[in-house]
Amino acid sequence: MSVIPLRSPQQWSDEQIKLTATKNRRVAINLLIEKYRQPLLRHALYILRDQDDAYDIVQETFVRAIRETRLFDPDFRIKAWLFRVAKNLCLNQLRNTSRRAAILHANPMPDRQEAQQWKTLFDGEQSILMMETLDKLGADHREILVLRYYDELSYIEIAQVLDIKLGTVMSRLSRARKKLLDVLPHEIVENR
Amino acid sequence: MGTHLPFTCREVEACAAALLDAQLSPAEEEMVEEHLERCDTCADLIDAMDAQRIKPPRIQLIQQNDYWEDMDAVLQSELDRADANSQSPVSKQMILFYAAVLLLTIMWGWHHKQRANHLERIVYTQQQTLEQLERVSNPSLTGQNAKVSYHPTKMEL
Repeated sequence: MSVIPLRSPQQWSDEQIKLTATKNRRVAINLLIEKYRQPLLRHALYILRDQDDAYDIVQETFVRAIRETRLFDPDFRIKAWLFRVAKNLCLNQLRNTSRRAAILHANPMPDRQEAQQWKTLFDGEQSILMMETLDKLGADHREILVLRYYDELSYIEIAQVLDIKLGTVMSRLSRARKKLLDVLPHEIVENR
Repeated sequence: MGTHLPFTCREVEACAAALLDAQLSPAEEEMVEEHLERCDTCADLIDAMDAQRIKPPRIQLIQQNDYWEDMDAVLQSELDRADANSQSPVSKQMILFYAAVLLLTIMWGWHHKQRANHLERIVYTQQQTLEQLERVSNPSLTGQNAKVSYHPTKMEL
């Protein structure tokens, strides 16, 4: 493995990494991997809730990044692109998993232990409760809440990831938070 | 709810999250605040949303280093492949260079063809002029001879 020349690539802006790519593309890609692997892994875990699958998604996202010729173009939005690829791969994975389960019919009702396994990934009751609450929302609302409040993307970045207008980000996020009011347990609502 | 509110309840609802995330422009924020001062329903909604505590769930991973090492191995070999491809015998710059040379050659050939055509026309005109002069200076050339001299053979260049 090539040596990553920095201890904290998270502090590097995408523009600085692009500048590095003009001199050495390999170093720039390694910086990108270091900078984005944890955020992408968290995103995949929030969506898939399976550690093996989440790592596979992160790996495939970076493989695609390495093969992407426009990656370091001046107007290329690296962060939004990475999250968009990871999001789409997660959705494909979810679709494949449910299709496989439907075809196999081996275990139409997953046993209780297996169904609860994902909870070991999350630390603390509040975290598990929050994930269970998200399950009660529609896919669109769940996705935008994860992107904004878990992945901490800006509104503009969310618009780029989901390929929607900024106004749509605002209204969808508001609808999601309003819907959350109906399903959010009292334990996760602050008493003011 | 007042009758002349700058924002409707629906509009306030649509930008509620943006208001709480401080993503509105100062002018928009002012209009929403103005609405909230007069509309209890919307004010209650914003208060309720504000009380939501949406924090990222804490994740605890097992054997993280093993996963990263495996992934690094795959990604580094992918990078090796990408490097090998980028060092192919004919680079993109070389292809562009050859294309430019070919284009210049075609343009050069075209230019010379035009020049040759132009010279051919000059020679033809001069030949006609000479024959005209010869005919004027030697009026004995009449009939068949004269007709032939008006149609000189085309020069082959």
